[in-house]
Amino acid sequence: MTGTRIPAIGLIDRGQKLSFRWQGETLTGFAGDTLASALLANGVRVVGRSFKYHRPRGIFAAGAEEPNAILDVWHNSQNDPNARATLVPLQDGMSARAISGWPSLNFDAFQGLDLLHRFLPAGFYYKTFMAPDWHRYEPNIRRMAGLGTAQKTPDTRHYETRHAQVDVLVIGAGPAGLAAARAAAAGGRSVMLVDENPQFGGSLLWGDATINGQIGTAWARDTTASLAASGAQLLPNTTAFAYYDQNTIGLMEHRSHAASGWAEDRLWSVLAAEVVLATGAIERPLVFPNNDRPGVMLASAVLRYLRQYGVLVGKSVVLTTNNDSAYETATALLAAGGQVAVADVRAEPGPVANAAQAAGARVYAGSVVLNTGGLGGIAWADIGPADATSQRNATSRIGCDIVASSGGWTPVVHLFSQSGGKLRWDETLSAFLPNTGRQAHQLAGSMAGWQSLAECLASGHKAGGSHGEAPVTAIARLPTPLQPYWHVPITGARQWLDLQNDVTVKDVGLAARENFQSVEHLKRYTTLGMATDQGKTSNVNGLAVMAELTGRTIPETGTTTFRMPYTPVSLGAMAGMRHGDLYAPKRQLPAQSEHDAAGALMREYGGWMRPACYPLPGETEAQAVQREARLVRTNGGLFDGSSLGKIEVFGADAAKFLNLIYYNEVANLKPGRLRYVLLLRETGIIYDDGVIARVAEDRYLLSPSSSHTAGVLAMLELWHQTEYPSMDVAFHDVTAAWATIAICGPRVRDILATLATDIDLSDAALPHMAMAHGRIMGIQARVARVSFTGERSYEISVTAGHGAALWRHLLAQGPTPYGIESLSILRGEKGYILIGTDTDGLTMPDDLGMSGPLRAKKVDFVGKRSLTTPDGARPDRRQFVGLLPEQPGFVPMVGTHAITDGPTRRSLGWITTAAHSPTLGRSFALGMIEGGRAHMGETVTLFDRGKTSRATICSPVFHDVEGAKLHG
Amino acid sequence: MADLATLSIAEQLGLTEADPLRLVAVPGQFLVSGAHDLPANSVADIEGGYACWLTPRRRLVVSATPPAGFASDISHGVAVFSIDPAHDTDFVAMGCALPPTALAEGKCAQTVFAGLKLLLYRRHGLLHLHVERSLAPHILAWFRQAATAL
Repeated sequence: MTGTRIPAIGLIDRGQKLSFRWQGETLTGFAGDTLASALLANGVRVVGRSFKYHRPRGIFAAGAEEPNAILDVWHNSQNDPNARATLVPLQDGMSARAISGWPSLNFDAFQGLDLLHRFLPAGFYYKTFMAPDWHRYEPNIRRMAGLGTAQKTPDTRHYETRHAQVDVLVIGAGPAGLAAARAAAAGGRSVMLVDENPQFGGSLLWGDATINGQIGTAWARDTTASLAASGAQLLPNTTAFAYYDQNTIGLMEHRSHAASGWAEDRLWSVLAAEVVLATGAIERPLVFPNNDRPGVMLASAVLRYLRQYGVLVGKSVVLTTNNDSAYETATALLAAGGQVAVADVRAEPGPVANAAQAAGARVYAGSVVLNTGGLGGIAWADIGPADATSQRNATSRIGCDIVASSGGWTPVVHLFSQSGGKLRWDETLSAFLPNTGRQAHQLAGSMAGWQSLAECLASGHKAGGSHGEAPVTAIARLPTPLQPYWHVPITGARQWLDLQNDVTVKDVGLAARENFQSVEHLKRYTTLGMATDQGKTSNVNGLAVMAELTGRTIPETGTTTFRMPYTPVSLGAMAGMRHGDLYAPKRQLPAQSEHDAAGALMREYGGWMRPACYPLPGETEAQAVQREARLVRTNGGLFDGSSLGKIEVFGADAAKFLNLIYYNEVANLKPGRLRYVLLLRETGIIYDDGVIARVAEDRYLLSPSSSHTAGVLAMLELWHQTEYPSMDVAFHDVTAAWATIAICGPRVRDILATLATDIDLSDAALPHMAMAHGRIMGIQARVARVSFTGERSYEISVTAGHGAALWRHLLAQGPTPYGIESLSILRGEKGYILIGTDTDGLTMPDDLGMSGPLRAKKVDFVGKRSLTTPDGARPDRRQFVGLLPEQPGFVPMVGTHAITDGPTRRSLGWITTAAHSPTLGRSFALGMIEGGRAHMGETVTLFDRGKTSRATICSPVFHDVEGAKLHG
Repeated sequence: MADLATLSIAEQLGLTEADPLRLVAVPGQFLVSGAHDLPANSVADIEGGYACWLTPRRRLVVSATPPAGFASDISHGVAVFSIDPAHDTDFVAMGCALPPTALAEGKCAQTVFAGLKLLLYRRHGLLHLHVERSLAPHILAWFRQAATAL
């Protein structure tokens, strides 16, 4: 195969020469080329090695159905590791490499596997690589299969996602799609027209057509221009890859240029009132011995490369066909100076064949190609009778550089099938056609089974609503019917069905013999029609072979489900802008600027960026945490608690409702008072803890934990709307409206004295677990006496905009700012739990020693039933206890197990919190230990990754056991 | 002793003229529960301001004074922006699945936009956006990034 540009043919711009690299070698092409057409024009024959046998493979098709030319393409530092060369518009500076072939494309170290093909049938992997474990072999097998390699470095580009809503979305801009879009636009509807190719026109770009007196390409160009003028949205290089429910279509647009920093791939989600499916048809190949050599192509691809790109892929071409459409390729090749021989399965090929013969083609009626040969490509083809049972039946050997085949056309029903539509088998066309649809769509053109241009245009015009003048073309004479022909009936030679997955007729035979006869089993056993190809050129041939071997009809054999995406979609496009800093929203505290100024180490906790600690110059994080934990108890601490949830609850039934939800009694809470509460799931498992404040008879303020606020609000709404809809109660999340700063420790009263406020902060008016409202320094505020450190503590809340100023004022009074990490030590020293850290998906209230409400509370509450089940009352449940390591300097890892002693080790539970306490001068831990409360004072063995140590089980309260400091 | 100074959202964000978002000064915002007669997904003038339909029994009132009933003052908790009118339809197409008709003059919608739950409505020709204060830096970063694609 040499590949020659024919002057004056094609739609490429010969004035614009483009330079590109293939396997490191610089080649040239023209604007308007695809990577595939440019490679063919440069005589590139081998573009990859096959998946399993490592046989050389060449470009086979000209569209999305290309099974072989999957290349690693770089352009403008953007990479597509598995690009279909037929869909990549050639760009200046583009670089492409084969994804398979080692050490080189022409000499593959694994090509010897092909000689062993007898020992590598379908299912070979499943039968061979069983012991000890398939996964041991999988990485090497995958590497040998030669798929593209993803980039190892982060992709820094941004991927755009777009939504659109249109009256009519037309998919496919061939003659039928253009006619549909034209009619829909004439009817005044908003139209979006998409096509996977860079140019609109579909088969008009390479077919011989006249519409409304114009050459097909000119009609396509003018129609496109008038659609653009009418305001239609035109998206070339755009694949409709998925048809979802509610007429939502996923589009993958490949832009030739994107704004700086943005990827060329753009993902669209389009909601269409009506979809016109004008997705066309894919030529399916005939199946014959050695039909996978580089130089074996689809007949329509040969025609398209010639007419659209001016590339004569071979000077001497053998065509093998069972229908009329290949003859257009024959006459076009002859007109371009090529030599053509046609093997036609049909005994009487008819008038189209006669015309080709008259133009100079040699036509062999009732014949097929029985073999091909040549070194690394095609040098000859043997032709013989269609019913040959041996390659020795060949009657002629014809020297050639290309063998092109046509076995009929397969309508592209993928999207129709994804939409929920059912298919039917059409005997005349030997194809699956759309039968009953399920969504609001119209079908047009060859995907609906229309064959002639006149029928395609008419169906398109009708699908678009029949507005305006219908496009007119000459009525073609009726074709001579296609003669189904699925493979050459000889058994010795290998005949390929699926080129991408290296599946032969013999493999299907083996599947049939081993009783993998259902199409789903056939697909998985042989890999026929799998992966990115999804059987575009192989599906019908494979089914037909299985039908023949099992004595069933093709519709009885069935077809597999067409899965989305139609062609691969880049992962980056699916992620859209959700990566880097925009990957997950992080909430910012109102006093963020003050924390920055104080040198805080900010970290994400439950979606909020919060200070972990405030290291001083030269201090490590660990040193800062120890210093803060010590100074809070000896001096005073300042903490930003603004992220704590704030849900206002209002209504005449607020008390009654909340009492039905929370584990603790909350209806008897007096206005102005607070209570620590647990919230359970229906399973009795603790979901959240927090503090509830009663603001007035009909008003509460809930303070769930920072990361559970949205979840608690949703739970309240759910129970109100489903179980208790008649109750007069409503909930407002006001978390972000308030800044909450906590001050605590020995100096707290001195600091409070600096606040100008009308709130009575005396212990009589504001005891521990009470709340008061008023103004602080002129600002609306509330103060709650609640402590998570065990120190006398005041949580001051002001409107969020004043949070930074309040922090600044309080900090100036000298307390130590402390972060989440030292808070964890402080609350741990007091045995205060942290939900999700000390509790898990199995923890019930009694496990924490909080069984009072279950005994005392008379009304039902969420989770109550589950607390009384036998499992909830099991004495060996894990219970919350303290643990003192034997070595006071040793801090066990969180997650360390406590185990039984003796030869049969068993876990008794694990450590949930552990730290060095500057106040205790030693390490301490909290944990959940089986029946822990009954084992106080006993020692237990800790086990962490093979190392053991000892610890004593004790009360979880290590500091200020009486709680005197809360009031001190 | 001085009163506490306000840190405005604009100061917190460092908004500039070049940004695709403009801060809108509103007198106050109140989340209000209870029966109301606003048509679904609409924004309408009321005495002293305007109100946005949120659910059949919940609305957002933008005014200086709190309305009667269960009203929570969220003025400090929610940032209000208007979107650059030259590109607002592009931003909506990039940020959420709503059709332009859902955001016609006088219409409002609570939706997930750029991954965040927020309120959008068009009033006096400008597309307004209400976002929780703590998430305002994130939405601004999103708009700044999205604007580079235009």
